[in-house]
Amino acid sequence: MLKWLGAKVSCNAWWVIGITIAITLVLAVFISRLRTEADLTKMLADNDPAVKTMAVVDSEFGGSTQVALLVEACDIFSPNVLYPLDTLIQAIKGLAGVLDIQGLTTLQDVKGIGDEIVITKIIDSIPKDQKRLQALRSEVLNDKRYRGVLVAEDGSSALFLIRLAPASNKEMVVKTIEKVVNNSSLRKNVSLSGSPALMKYMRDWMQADLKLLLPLAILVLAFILLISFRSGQGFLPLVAVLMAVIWTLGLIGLLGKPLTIVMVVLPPILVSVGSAYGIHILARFRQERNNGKTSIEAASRAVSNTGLPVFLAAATTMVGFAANMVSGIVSIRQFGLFSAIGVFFALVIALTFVPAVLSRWKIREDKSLNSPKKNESNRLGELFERWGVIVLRHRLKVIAPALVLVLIAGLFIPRVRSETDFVRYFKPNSQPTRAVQIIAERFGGELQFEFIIEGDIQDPELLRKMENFEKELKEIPHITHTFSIVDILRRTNKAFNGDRLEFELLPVKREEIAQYLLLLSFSDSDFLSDYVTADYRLARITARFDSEESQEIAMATKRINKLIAKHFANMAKVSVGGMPMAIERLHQNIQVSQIITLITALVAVFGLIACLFKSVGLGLVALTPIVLTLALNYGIMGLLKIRQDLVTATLGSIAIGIGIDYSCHLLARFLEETKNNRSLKLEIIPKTLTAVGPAILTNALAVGLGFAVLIFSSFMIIQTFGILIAETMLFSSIGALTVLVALLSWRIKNRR
Amino acid sequence: MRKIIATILLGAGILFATHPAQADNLSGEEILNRVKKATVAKDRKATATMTITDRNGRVQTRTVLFVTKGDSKLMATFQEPPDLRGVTFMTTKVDNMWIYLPTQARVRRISGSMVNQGFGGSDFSYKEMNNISSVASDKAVEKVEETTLNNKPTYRLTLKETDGTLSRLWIEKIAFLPLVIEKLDAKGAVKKRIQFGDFAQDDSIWTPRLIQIQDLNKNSKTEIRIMEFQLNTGIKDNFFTEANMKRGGR
Repeated sequence: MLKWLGAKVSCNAWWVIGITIAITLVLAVFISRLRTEADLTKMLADNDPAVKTMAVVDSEFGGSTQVALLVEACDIFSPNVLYPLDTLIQAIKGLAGVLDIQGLTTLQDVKGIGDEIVITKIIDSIPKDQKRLQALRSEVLNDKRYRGVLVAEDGSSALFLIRLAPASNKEMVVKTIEKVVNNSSLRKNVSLSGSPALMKYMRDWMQADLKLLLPLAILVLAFILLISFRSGQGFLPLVAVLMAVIWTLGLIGLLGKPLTIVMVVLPPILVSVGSAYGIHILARFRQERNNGKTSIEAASRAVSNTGLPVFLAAATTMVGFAANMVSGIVSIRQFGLFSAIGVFFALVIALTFVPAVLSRWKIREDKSLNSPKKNESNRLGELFERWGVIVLRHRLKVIAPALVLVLIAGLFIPRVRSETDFVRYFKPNSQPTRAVQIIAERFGGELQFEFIIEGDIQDPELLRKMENFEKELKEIPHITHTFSIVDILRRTNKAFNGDRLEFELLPVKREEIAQYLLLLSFSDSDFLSDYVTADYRLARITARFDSEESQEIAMATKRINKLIAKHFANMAKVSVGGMPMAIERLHQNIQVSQIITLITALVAVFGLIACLFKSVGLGLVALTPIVLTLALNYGIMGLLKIRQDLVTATLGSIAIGIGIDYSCHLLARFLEETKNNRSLKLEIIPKTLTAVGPAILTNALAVGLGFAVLIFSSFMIIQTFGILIAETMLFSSIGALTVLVALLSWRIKNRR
Repeated sequence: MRKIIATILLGAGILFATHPAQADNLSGEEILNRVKKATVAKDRKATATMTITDRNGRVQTRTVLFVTKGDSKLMATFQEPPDLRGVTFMTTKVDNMWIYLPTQARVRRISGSMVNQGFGGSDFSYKEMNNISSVASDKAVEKVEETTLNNKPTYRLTLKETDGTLSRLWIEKIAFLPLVIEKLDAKGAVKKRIQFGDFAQDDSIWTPRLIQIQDLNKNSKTEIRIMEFQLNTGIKDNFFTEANMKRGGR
């Protein structure tokens, strides 16, 4: 099959080249359709309970997506701040996609003034004189409902929560808000936060990353190819893999799928990984040319002889990448699919376009084959030959240190924790991180748990349960403020009774509750409809959370679930949502996905190798370096307290998919040498290493350095991923060239 | 609530004695005057069912006894559901509103942002009520067109609200019955639509027994179906008192 392919490609080279270029041009058109997606909730499946609850909040209560607008000044109540602030907030309120704004100058309250019930804004009109402003300042700061909720305790900052319409284009709304802020005199005092703003920043940075990381990966690969091949031919694998990247991104654009933060690493990964196939074909082509074959013959033989290990390497990589498709996280599943497709494209192009071009390569260029590079290549080969002899003699001394390292690493593996705190995606001193920290410190956080209570909301008993539930919620660490219809009813009762504090109680009779609800329905309908549906069958409780840490959210969630069981069993159906819950669900999914994808990748890769080499033993042996690599990698993560996140969750399967290539190349050549050297068993290992050692080294260097460019990402998590994956390439190539070689030499010895 | 009154008044007070031949030469102001004459009854008592359907199809049904006098005095007493029985809302002029809650046995004046918002969770607002009132009084007529609506010959009046926004009013040409009012937003898109139907005649006054309002922005609707009504029963001004609120407007 490969022989046929090699011959056909070489004979019909111009057709192959033409068709490949045509496909590339067509798919390149669709790259313009690519869009980035940073919404964390879209990474969860639509049927995820947290997503379903948020959908209910969106449809029944007008939405829960909020942009947090933080205003910092010496004194928020100074006329220089309060007036432009009111103008700014009014301007934002009028924007399309903005549902409402909760904050100092907009929030409504129920007040009882004598025999009058007044539903009005906290600040109905901004006082003009300093004395009245100071009176307002002390009134607001002395009210526990506003202090530390809307205004910082020292009056130096204020928080406005801008609720966006569920159907709005949130990125566009945030952009418009930014524009309005930039036109305001308070632009230097205002920062935006909240999930839509953070996701917008994330998207901006993702786009910047895509523009930066791919060219960097190309530059690194070009440099490696140049020093490895020292010929124009050396750039051919780069051209081939760029075509594969264009095909993949074009296909994603054509299918209308978004690029998520996980997908940002896809182009550099494809460049690093996919180039290997072209490199192997090119290396074999040059060997064949050295042996005196013509370009057409050499290209054909490169495909027929190297095609199998290249195919195997690509197949294992595809399987490793595709293992991510079993993940519960949508973006990881998409990454698994398109990375596997990308590798397939790279394989197809390496086995067709590359030999087609080589078969028509001018003889002049081939002079490089007889240049000093050949001698250097030989010198490297000689070094590997000597290494082969050493391994044959001291196989135990090679294996033992690896085992010790793995045992030590094993001690730290249980310390690996996962983390989905998306604030950690940003660098510690960045504006988004700073705003999140200030909001957490001064306003009790911007994340909000959402509880949907389904039952007879006018039932005093259920409302009492809700009241007690809220009370106990506040005892959970990091839950700072809660709000629900219970609070509104308590305030209304107080207002109806002359604002006397002793009446800030939940009414006890059903009729009282019904009548207060009717009274409130005479006011701005949003005041009530944000927390209870018109038929009083659904109610909403919100609870602010001041930490973005997955572990803390997970602990809070456990306690929340116990509280729900305690208060609402047999009384009402309660579902939990909100951004902390989405983070928690992602956190759970990452943990489970990581294990499932790792096992899937290992089993699939093992099965593939065992089938292709027709040996279970060889399948197991081939896995050894990658298993050791994984152990070392997770040990390092545990030791250095590097958390597993959305991107590093794919690390294990990617490492298996790529790292196994070195084992495959080595195994294939080992079997070839075994077949060719039946009587000279001691020469098998040195010859194998001479033949594939330099290519493995070049490839590991190319892939490792290709991934290392990820340290220039705007995101911490991608930087970490780049370092870790580069490290796994190093370990798996070293593992193949040491432990695997030692194990194979054992096999030769035992067969004597 | 005022809007409900106004709507009921508008629909109920139409004179139909106008000769059709004369109508063709009527100016917008004259048409409105005909409507004005037609819409104002001295007083009215009506029991109506108000069905409010929100954007998610959640329905609330309430039965209310409305007692009105002129174009501003109203007392609305809830009769159903049982939890709300006896709750009474009263208004005597703009910004002068009271509510009585039987469970608290107290009347409270209500003010603040409530003034411009919906009545009892419905799509009717007080401001809209004023606007509808002025259809028959001091509203500026921008344009008069003759058209048909559901095969009925109608006048279509384009009216300018005090806030500068426009509304369109379809008036049936023969009996001067208001059929549809559309409230437009600043961009000229319809934000609310009020439809009148099932007219009944009593004492030479037509009363729409079915009034539907749709809020196209909120995607909600409110339907008022008048089950029984009495006109010109001689209600006195001193009927609209706190004491009568406590008695449930009877």
